[in-house]
Amino acid sequence: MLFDSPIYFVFLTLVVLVYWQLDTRQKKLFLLAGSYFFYGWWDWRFLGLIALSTIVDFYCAHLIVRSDDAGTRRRWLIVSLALNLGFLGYFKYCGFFVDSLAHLLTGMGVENPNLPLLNILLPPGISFYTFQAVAYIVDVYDRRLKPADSLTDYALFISLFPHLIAGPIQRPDHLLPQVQTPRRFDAEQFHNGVMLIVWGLFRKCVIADNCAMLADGAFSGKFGPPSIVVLAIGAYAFAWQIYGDFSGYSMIARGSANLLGYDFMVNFRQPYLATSLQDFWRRWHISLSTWLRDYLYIRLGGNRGTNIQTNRNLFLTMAIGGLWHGANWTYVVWGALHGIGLMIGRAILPNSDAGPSAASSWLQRYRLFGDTLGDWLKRLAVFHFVCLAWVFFRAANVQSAVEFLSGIAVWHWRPQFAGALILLAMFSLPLFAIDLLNERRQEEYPFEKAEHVWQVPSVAAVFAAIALVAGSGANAFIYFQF
Amino acid sequence: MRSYTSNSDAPPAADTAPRMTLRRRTVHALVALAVIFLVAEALCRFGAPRWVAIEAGREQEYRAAIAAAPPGAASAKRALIMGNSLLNEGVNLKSLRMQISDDINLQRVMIEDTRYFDWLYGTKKLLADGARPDLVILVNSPDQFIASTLRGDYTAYRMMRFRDVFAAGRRLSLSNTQMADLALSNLSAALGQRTNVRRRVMLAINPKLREMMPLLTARPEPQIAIADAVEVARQRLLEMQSVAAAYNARFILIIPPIADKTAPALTDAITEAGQQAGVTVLVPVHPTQLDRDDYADGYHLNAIGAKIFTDHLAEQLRNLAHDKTNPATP
Repeated sequence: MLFDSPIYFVFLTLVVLVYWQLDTRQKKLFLLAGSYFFYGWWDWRFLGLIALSTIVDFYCAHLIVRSDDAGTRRRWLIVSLALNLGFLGYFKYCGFFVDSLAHLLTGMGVENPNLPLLNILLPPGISFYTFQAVAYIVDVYDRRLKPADSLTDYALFISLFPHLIAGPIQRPDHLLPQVQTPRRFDAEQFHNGVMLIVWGLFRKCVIADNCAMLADGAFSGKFGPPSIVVLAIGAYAFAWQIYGDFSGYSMIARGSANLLGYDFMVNFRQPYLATSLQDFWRRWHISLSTWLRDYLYIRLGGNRGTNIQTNRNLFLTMAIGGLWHGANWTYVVWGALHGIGLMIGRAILPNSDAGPSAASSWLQRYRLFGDTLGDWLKRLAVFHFVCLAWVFFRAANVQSAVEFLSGIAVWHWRPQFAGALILLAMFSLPLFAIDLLNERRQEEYPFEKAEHVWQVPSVAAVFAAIALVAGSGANAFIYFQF
Repeated sequence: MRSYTSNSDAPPAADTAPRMTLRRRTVHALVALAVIFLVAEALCRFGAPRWVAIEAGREQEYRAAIAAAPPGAASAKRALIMGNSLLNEGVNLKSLRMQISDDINLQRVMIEDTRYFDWLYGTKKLLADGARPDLVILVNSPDQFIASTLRGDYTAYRMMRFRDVFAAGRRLSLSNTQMADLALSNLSAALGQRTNVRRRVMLAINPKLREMMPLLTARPEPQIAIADAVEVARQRLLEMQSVAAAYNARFILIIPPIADKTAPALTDAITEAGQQAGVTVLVPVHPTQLDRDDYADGYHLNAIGAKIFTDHLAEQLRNLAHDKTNPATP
């Protein structure tokens, strides 16, 4: 069930209506059944996989806690990690590695390497629930978390439907206590949930789906061969598409959770207003970036070693983070580019403490929308670096991405580009303006803290926009494929 | 912002008065959403067929098709001719009707951007709703006839019976979500017409889109082997024939010319499929007989091309009506 499909809202309405009539235990069982139904709706064949992974992790966590012997604890940790990462590796990466090996052997002169052709179906949401399960078992192993007493609680923590398919990846210490304590109807939370869903739909259906039309056209060559205009249309359109798509998804997920009395972590905070790449990763897909920081970067050594070691850790974390997105070298290059960008950022930023130069003091003097010109220049630089990296994320393969980028040196204008650029402005500028407003007012959606008289008309206007200019419903959420 | 990223502290308890206000706010917001949806539904269901010219035209054609046989020559056969913009642009209906009025009484149902599956279910609905033609004629280009896609929400709303939605979903291997969305679009005019509404609003806001859209909607060339095309077409011709035969009608496929590299070979393939299936496939003008100058945009015929095509079609339909070897001939 896609979050922007009418059937999801039929499902959500029924679940919410029944859910609040039940007692605590019934609520959990009902929600668990609803979540498994939601997952099975995607593909019932993988229900066994998520159930098996849940049961094994639940008992592994208890076996870890029960033992004081370091070796035994470590063994159960390895069993759990091997199972989770084994499933992820098999279903998501097996075909990719076999394919890459075949390419490598062919490149080395081996004719017909004769490797098996694997066509493995990817279970929906496996990347997300695997990371959540790994976080749980590692936290229990590190004695930072008490394991769930009840299998129902743990199963609900893993499978709660609003986050099941594409996150936000929930931290055990945030979500598990909520699962374990009775959920009481909270008018504020419910109201927030409705608002988040409507604004999330706006981001997905109005912004992302309309930008998708342009990005798809540019990347598929329908606008003609690569040129600087086609590159600009494709890269900018995809930048706003993926942002509207995933932030919209995250808002609908958080809103749906709020309707059920749960709170999910915020996943986006105006990422295109970041003034450095480091800042960008504090604002973009926060649930993944903090997971990678806590369970990968810090475990690799973080910034505790030499400068070279820290840079290596940064690069590895981002490259692996890239690979997490999908079994394609394009994602690895995308992650690696961000890793290199972060390394360069680390090298440059400390020098800025040396005191403002004449140019920078001039840039600090003038202000635009409350921020200095210097901040806006940094934002512009970060945004364009991010857009450049998105080309690799979006392209079918690395070669296509390089060819697409080669258009930067080609000028070619067609009259049809005017319509495309107007469309791009129509759908990117509103989200940019919303982000500015949210940043200024420290809100998650416009008028979050405003008076009643502003909220209802704003939500009605947004809903009307969804009804009138929502893009094609044929675009699934981008992150659902991961 | 209320939410947090690293702890699960409960939010501070609100006192009773703000809670009531919030509850009222939520109710107002939900009511506003429900009212907007209901207004949209009413406008699409009752307003669009009256006030939007295209919808009004479609509604009128549909009603005429399912109504009792229109007045015409007593011996004339009743024919239902269905198709998309190729029918609209390529056939001068007034001229065709005049040329064949002694033999065939023609009723048109035209919906743009429709292909085989749209019309398979569209024909079933038309016949189930009361249309009783002697001839069921479909005008589809070769690539449209062998395509395995549905137009989507609008087809579900206007051209399908509810029970056909799930059959279509299974046949086209749609996901559960796509199938359920089709089912809801079948029930709701607002959902069924949302793509049309969006297109009109977008064109009104940004008229330059009219120039850009042909780039984005450029048709990919069909990737199918000729032998496979013959087999797919044969099965589909038989299927349409059996749908028509259930109501004592005869199915005829008309292939209009399109300026496409694959069109000549696919046209021949479907003609061959027709011979194998024993179903009439008319090719009034073979794609190789026309020049680029006969097309308006490389796909649709212009006025000159349409005149050539209409005249040839009229002649073939007249011949067909006089063909005494045909069981459907009076």
